[in-house]
Amino acid sequence: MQTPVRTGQPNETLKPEAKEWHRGTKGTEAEVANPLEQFTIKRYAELGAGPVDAAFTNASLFMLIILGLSFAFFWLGSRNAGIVPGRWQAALEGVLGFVSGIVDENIGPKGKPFVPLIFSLFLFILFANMIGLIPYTFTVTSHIAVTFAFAALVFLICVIVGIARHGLHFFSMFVPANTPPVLLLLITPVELISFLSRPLTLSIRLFANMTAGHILLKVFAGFIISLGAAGILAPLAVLPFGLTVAFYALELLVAVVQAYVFALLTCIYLNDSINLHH
Amino acid sequence: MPQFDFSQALPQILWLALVFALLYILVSAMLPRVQKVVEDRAGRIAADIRSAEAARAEAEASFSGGSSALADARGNATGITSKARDAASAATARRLADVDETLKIQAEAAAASLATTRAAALAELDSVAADATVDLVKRVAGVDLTSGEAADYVRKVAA
Repeated sequence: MQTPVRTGQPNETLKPEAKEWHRGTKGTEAEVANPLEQFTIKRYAELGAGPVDAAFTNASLFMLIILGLSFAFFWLGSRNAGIVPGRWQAALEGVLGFVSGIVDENIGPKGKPFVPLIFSLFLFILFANMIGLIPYTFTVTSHIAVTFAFAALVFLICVIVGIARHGLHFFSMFVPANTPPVLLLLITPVELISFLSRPLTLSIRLFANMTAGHILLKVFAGFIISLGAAGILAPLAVLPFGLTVAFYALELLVAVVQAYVFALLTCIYLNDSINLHH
Repeated sequence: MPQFDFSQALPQILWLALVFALLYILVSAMLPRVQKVVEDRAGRIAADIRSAEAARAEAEASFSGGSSALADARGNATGITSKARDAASAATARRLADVDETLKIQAEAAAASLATTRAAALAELDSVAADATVDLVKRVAGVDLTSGEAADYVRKVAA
């Protein structure tokens, strides 16, 4: 998320009314804050060869930050690990217990090998969403490319696990048992479409939640500046300020809930592939 | 919207694949250690609870054993007390009987000596009366009686 007040950076985007307040530091042409600007991919270093574009971007940077924080979380949580846990150990064990609980409730004992996968997904998405709520940062999960890559990974794992465990019998998932043949003509395409649309819904849910929340925050934060510079109306800027604070709290909740929902749905989809009772 | 600029999608996906693979390796390597600590703790708590249960059962058993021993001891003590009381009362009765016997013998001896003394006193009374008679006759009639005569008179009168 980025707030409109960015005094130290070029290309300041502020409403004309806010120019007075801003002119002292920089004389650039200000314009209406663009709430989509925060999603821009900034290419820091060109990498890759030929058609393969592997540029190091702000998305790459924040992915590495997420990885570093995950490593720090594990390091803090598992050093001096003892029978009586310290704060970090209790936090790490709490997250593990939470994820193990989701896996156990939705898949059962056969889901144990998938705990590291679900844990990685949950941790990555949670850290991405939370880091994105710090001003001036970039939200990795606000990009459909990232969320779709996750959803496609989950989809592929579901298909591979299903076929590996049940062979061609896996496709009986689209043919519910004890259904009259006439209805099968209708139900099988419906089941197939609902199965194929899973990666779309999974990726769009996360992407849309993060994008919408960040746009909302940016827009309301912009109102603080434009109202604050509106002379006699300036005291009214308290209203969008209050709303921004409230939305920020809501976005914190959304950040956690979306990570949970992604992990939960992954478990539910995996359960269909592993246990196959439809 | 920058999200729909798909020319930027490939670097994101490639970096995501790299980073997520590293994260997955990290998580796979570290989670068993965390899980082991959690399981160790659960096992230790279960073992502690089991040993506490065993100790409680033992304590309950020794308590019931102790209370039966207590009851036995109380019974013993009551027996000993009543025996001692019986013995003491028997001894008291015996000594009472002894004392009674002694007192009876002493009383009889005393009665016997009293009788002798009384007989002696009565015998002496006759001689005193005879002396008194000799004196009386001498003063009244001027006649001298011998003590033998006086004693005969006294004996006649008293008879």
